[in-house]
Parts: sequence; C-alpha cells; structure tokens
Amino acid sequence: MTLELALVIAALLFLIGMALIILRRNLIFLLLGIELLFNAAMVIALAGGARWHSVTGQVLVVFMMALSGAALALTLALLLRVKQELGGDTVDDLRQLREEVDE
Amino acid sequence: MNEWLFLIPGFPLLGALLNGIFGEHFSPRQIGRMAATMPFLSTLVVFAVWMTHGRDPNLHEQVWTWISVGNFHANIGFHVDQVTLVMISIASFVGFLIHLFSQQYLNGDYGERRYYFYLNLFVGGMLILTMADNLLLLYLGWETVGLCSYALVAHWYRKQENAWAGRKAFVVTRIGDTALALAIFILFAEYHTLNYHTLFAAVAARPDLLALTIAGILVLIGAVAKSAQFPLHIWLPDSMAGPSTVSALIHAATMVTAGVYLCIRLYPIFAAVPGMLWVIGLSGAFTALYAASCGIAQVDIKRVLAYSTISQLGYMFLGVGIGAPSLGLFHLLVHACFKALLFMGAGVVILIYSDNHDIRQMGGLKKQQPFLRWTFLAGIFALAAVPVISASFYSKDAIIATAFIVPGGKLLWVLALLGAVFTAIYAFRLYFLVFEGPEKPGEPYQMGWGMKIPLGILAVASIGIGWLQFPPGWPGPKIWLPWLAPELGMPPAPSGDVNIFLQVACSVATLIGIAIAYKAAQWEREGRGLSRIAFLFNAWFFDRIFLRIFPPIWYAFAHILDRLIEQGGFQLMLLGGLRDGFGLGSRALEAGENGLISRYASGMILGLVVLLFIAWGYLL
Amino acid sequence: MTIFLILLLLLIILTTGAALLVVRDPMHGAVNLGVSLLALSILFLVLGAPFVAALEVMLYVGAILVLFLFAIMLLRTPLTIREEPRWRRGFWWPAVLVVLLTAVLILLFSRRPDLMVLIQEIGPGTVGRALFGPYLWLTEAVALLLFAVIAAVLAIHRRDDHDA
Repeated sequence: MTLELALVIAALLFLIGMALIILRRNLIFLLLGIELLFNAAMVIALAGGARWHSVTGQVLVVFMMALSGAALALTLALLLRVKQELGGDTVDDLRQLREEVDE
Repeated sequence: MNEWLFLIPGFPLLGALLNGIFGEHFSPRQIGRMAATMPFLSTLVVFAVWMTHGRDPNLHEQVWTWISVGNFHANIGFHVDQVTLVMISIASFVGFLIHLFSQQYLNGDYGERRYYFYLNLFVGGMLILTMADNLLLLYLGWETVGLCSYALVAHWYRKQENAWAGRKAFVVTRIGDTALALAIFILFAEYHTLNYHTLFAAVAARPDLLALTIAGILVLIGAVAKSAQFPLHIWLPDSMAGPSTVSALIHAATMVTAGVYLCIRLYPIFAAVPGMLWVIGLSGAFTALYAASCGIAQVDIKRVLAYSTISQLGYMFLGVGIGAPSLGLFHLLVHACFKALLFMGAGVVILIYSDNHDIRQMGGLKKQQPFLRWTFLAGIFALAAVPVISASFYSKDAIIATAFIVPGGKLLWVLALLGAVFTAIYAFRLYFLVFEGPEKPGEPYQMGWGMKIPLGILAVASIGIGWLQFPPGWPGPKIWLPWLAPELGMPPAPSGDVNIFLQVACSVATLIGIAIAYKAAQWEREGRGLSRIAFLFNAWFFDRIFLRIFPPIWYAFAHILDRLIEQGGFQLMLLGGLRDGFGLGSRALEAGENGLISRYASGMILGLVVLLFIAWGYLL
Repeated sequence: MTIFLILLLLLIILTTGAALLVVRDPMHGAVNLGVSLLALSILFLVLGAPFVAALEVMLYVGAILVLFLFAIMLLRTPLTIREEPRWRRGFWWPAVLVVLLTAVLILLFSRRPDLMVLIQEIGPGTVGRALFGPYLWLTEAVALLLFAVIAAVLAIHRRDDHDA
C-alpha cells in the first residue's frame, strides 16, 4: 500500500463524486456524490497520517465525519422542504437562483 | 499670539458654516448681521497682531497636519509676516466694511442668505490664501475664492446673462488655476517641498533654471488670470453682472489682488530667472495702458471701474516687475481702499437711477447726494492720482518713477505714464458725467449709517493712507518702505534732478488727464463722446477675437472625440455583436441545459480543473 | 497475495462507486454507496486507522446511510421511476468536463511513485487522547455545531397539517 496508491484511490473517488454532482438529475444522487467527496478527503487525510505517523490524520477524519453528517442532515431536511414547496426532487426544479433573463 | 492665528480665517469660515447649517431658521437681516460680525472679529484679531507684533511680525501656527505621505508634508499652517499682515488687514477690514455696507444695499433682494454665505466663505478663503505657509494651502484658498467669485458674480442668476458671466469668470480663471497647479507640481518635483521657507532656501541653494523658468511662467499665467491682466482679463468686465458690493470686495480689494500677492510671495523664484521680472513688468505696464485706454470709452459705470481695476492691477504688477514689490504692495493697499469705495458708491448710484448703469443718462447727482458725492470724489482723486491730496499719488506715481530708473524700464515708464493720463481721463470723466452737469434726477435714496461709515472711512483712507510713505526728497513720514525692507528689500529710488523730473511728469500727466476729462464729459453729453470709438469701446475687440478663435477649436476637438466615440460605439456594437455571438454559441452548447445549480457546480469543477492543470504545470 | 487482496478491495470501492452513476433508483444508489463505504472502511484499516474504520461503519453506513434511506422514503418517490431519465438534460458538456477532470488527475499522478512506507497502526487510545487533548476546542466546537444543525433541521421542517 503505497502512498501513491492511496492518493489515486482518493482521486478516483473524488472524481466519481464530482461526476455524480454534475451529471445526475435526482438530488439524492447529488448528495451521495457529496458523501463520496468527503470520503475521498478522508482517505487523503489518513494517507497523510500514515505517511508522517501522526494522529492528526485520524482526528481530521473524525471531524470530517461529524461535519459531513451535519451537512447532510441539514441538506436532507432542505431536500424534503424542496419536495414540499417545489413539487419535485430533481435538479431541474431548483431554478430559483437565476436572474430574469429573456431566454 | 501664535496660537490665535487660526481665528483670523476661522471666524468667516465659521460664519459660513453657521449660515449654511442653521441659516434657514433666521431672517436675512439676522444672517446679515451675523455674517458681518465675523470679519469684524477677524479684524479684531488682526488688530491684536498689529498691537503685539506690528513692528516685526513673524508669526507661525501649525494648525493641523493635512497631508503627510512619505517625504511630502503639507500642513494647514499659517505664517504672518509683513506682507501677509497687510493682506489680511485689507481682507478683514475692508471685507468687514463691505459686509456692513451690504446690510442696507441688498436689503429685500432675493438670495440674501446665499450671498452672505459666499461672502463669508470668500473672506475666509482669501485669508487662508494669504496666511498659508505653503503653496498647497495657498492653492486651497485660491480655489475657494475662485469658487465664491463664480457664485457671487452669478448671484442674480435668474437673469441668464449673469449666470453666463459667472461661468466666464470661472472658466477663464480656471486656465490660470491649472497653470498654477502645474507650477506647483513642477516646483515640488524639483525641490520636494512646498513650504515657502524651505522652498526658497532650496531654490537659492540649487537653482534649476529650466524648472524655475517654466514654473515661473506658469505662476505668471495663474496670476495673470486671477488678476485679470492682459490677455486673460476678459472675465472682469463681464463679471460686473454681480452686485456692486461683490465687485467691491472681489474685484477691487481682494481676489484680484491674489495674483499680485502670489507674485510678491514667490518673488525669489522670479528673481532667480533672468529677465522674468522684466516680463512681469512689461505685462503690467501694457495692461495698465490697455485697460485705461478702454476705460475712457465706457458708458456703463461699473465697466469703467472694471477696466480701471485691470489697469491699476497692471501698475501693481509693474511694481513687482521693476524690483519694487513693496511699492506694488503699497499700491495694492491704496487701491483696495479707493476701489472698494468707488464700487460701493457706484452701487448706490445704480440704485438711485433704478438699475440704470448708463452714465450718459446720469448727471448732477452732487445736489441730491452730497455725502455720496464727496466720498466718491475722494475715490476719484485717488484713482487719478491727484498730486499730494490722494493716496495713489504716493503709491502709483512712485512705481512709475521707479520704473524709469531700472534697466530696461524706460519703455515701461512710457507705457505707464500714458496709462496715467488715460486713468485721469476716465476717472474724472466718470465723475463729471455722474455728479456734475445738468441734473438728471433719480430716486431719492437715504443712506443709513451702515453705508455711510464704510464710505467715509474708505474716503479718508483714499486721501490719507498714502502719507505713510512720502517720496524721496519730501518731508514727511517714510514708514512703509523701511517697515517692509527686512522682507522685500528697499526699491531703487530716483534721486536728484531725475527725481524731480519724474514726479513733475506724473503730476502733469494727471492734470492733463483731468483737463481732457472735462472736455470728454462735455462731448459725451453732446452725443459725440469717446464712447463712439468702437475700438476702445470694445476693448480693442479682444473679446471678439477670443470668441472667434478658441471656441471653434474646442468644438472641433469635441466633434473629433464624438466621432471617435461613435467609432467606439460602433465597436461597442461590434463587441455587442460578439456578445450576441457568444450568447448564440453558449445556447448551442447548453442545448436544453436548465438548472442553475448544475451550472454553478460545473463552474466550480471547471475552476478545479484549471487549478489542477496549473498545479500539474508547477509539478513538472 | 496481500497486494491482490488490496487490489480487489479497491476494485470493489470503485465499481460500486461508479455504479452510482448508472443506477436509476435512488435506493439502489444508497445501497451501492453502503457497499462502497464498507469497503472503504477496510481500506482505512489497511492504512493503520482501526478507530476510524470502526467509526466509518458506525457513522457512515450505520447512521448516514440510514438517514438517506429515511429521506428517500419520505420523499415518496413514485414507483414509476423507471421512465424518468437518470442524467440531467444537457448531459454531454458536463460529461466532457468530467473527462477533463479525469485527464488532469491522471496527469497529476503520472510521476515516479513514492517509496513504500511502513504503515504503523495508530490505535483508538492515541486518537482519543488527541481528541480530548490538543484538539479539545475543536471537539467541543463540533459538538456545538451538531447541536446547531439539530436546531436548524427542526426549524426547517414543516408539517403538512399546520404551520411550523
């Protein structure tokens, strides 16, 4: 298990997460993608901790887990509201941020 | 005493401030009284300065650090020496008298509050200008008085011509202001200081002729514009559109003298450039003659006085140019007194004749208004430099006499002497037409004490203030020149036979002028007067020439720019076309793309991609 | 042998992750993620972090994934999910973007590999001592944050029968 390999794994996970965010339609998949991003970051943190024999890597991971959980909880709650207010749970329904353009 | 210097400009500025903020709750009368009190308080402080340090004033006060960047320091600092003391005495005291006079003069007119605001601000600005210890602060005062002059000339703005006259005054003096600003920049770039003291020391130690010449010329342009010298004098006659009290303050006693003050203050710079002083003298002498020649043909009472001001300022510049700045200052003082007097008197005359300015329709006023007549006559005496019993006999004639004996001065002497003849002509022509001759009755007008006191004081000064410095060879006090000598040096003085010849010549010139004036007034009444000489009446057609040359150039320039902007607009359209192209392209790209969130996410990822590319580039 | 196992592990992680890109049903997606994360926790173990590996299973698979399941249930997505497109409209250009991202990542990693590092296990005790030692403030702050999130979620939710 080389450092490189760990970083490559993290990069690929990151890539998949990004792809999910910008390619999928259903919002749930967006959130799944965000989770994958977090996990990729955790892998990197651990790789660093292993490389430099530091406990900080694991501490970082703990915090990231907490944060991602918090973010996810909030986002899911918002997602439920979106479904209630806007009637749909896809990316296409989240259009409120646009300016008035004559398109 | 040093710590109280700031009060001198402070009081009028305070007056303006109070007027501006609280003025609407008071009646114009009350505002007028408050406004008049302010320069009076300044006068008291100036008086205190005279009492305590009059003999050898050298006061400083650093009020505030204004700009302090790197090596550049410009402070709100005041410095009072002899020259400044004279200037602030004039500004505060004559300013006060004019404020006092205005109480009755402007009573009931529109815009009184605005008038007093600008009047106070003006006096404050003038005091700052003259008390400044560095060029930047002087420039502040310079601009302030320019602004107030514009506002006050256009005071009766409801008449279109008045607003135009105000603009003309502002635009022409702006030319001078720009030149002065450039001069300040050059001096700073060369000597890294704007404080007079350090600047002059630096100039003496390390004179850079090129920089000093250019700066000197620019300063001269600034002074010429502000003091309405040829060729930038065109604004002054038109600015007679403002109230006469404004003309008395701004165009007689204070603002126009700022140019002279500037030249006196920056004398070391002019002296360092060979020939520059003579150019100043020539400009002054020529302007003196030019304006006097125009004055004899004018029929508007205030225009006579306007050209007279231009002419008399020319004498002051002549004084500076011939190496006698203290004489120039002397005449400045004398002129302030009699010209303010004349303007205020003319204002009353205009009121009496129901806003009619034409002197051909006036006459015989001496019966109706004896007090006015005697005070006005005192002013006229001073204007014409009647021998012995007028103040300018001692100031102006001294300048003319001194011009004769300096190198290159003979030409200047001739010009000045001719000018003196014309001066006497227009002065007494004015008096004879308005106050003597067949009576043309006007409205009865009772001058209150508020008007009589200023006129009276200035009349006495017009006669007697010259007795401060009797010419060489005469018995009598010689206080003025020695008092100024530590700062400005003693001017060269003619002696012996030359001296007598010169004095006689000046007096003869005046008397000839008076005689001609008597005739001229008669001709004017008969309808074949000097005013029919179109060349003189139109000021050598100078205004017309100006208007024919400069505005078309400007319009052409603007037209070219407009074209460019059209081109630019075209380009903008082109760019707009590009924009449309992009829009089309992006629409094709986004075929069907709808949600904005995804767009944002895509954007972020695009940014990430770019960043990673850069990172990869670094790692290579 | 170990290498082979590790590679298998990585394969599982990546394929289940990639599967997320192609499944239709969100529930399927959640389950795939669960598998991926389980495999990831084993990876954590390999990297010498047993504590975090356990946490990954407990928190991620056990809590966060369950949260997902509840959310999917509450969204009451109709069963006719088959007919809906899975990709968003205008799919192709973002896809290009993803390819670009891949390319750049590959470029980044095409360097000489680092030396193999001996991985030592850092046990739970050390982590605990760190969390409640130097990182105490952060720990407390995160606790506060979680509390804030609870409050926020409560504030956001709206029941259908009456106003919140």
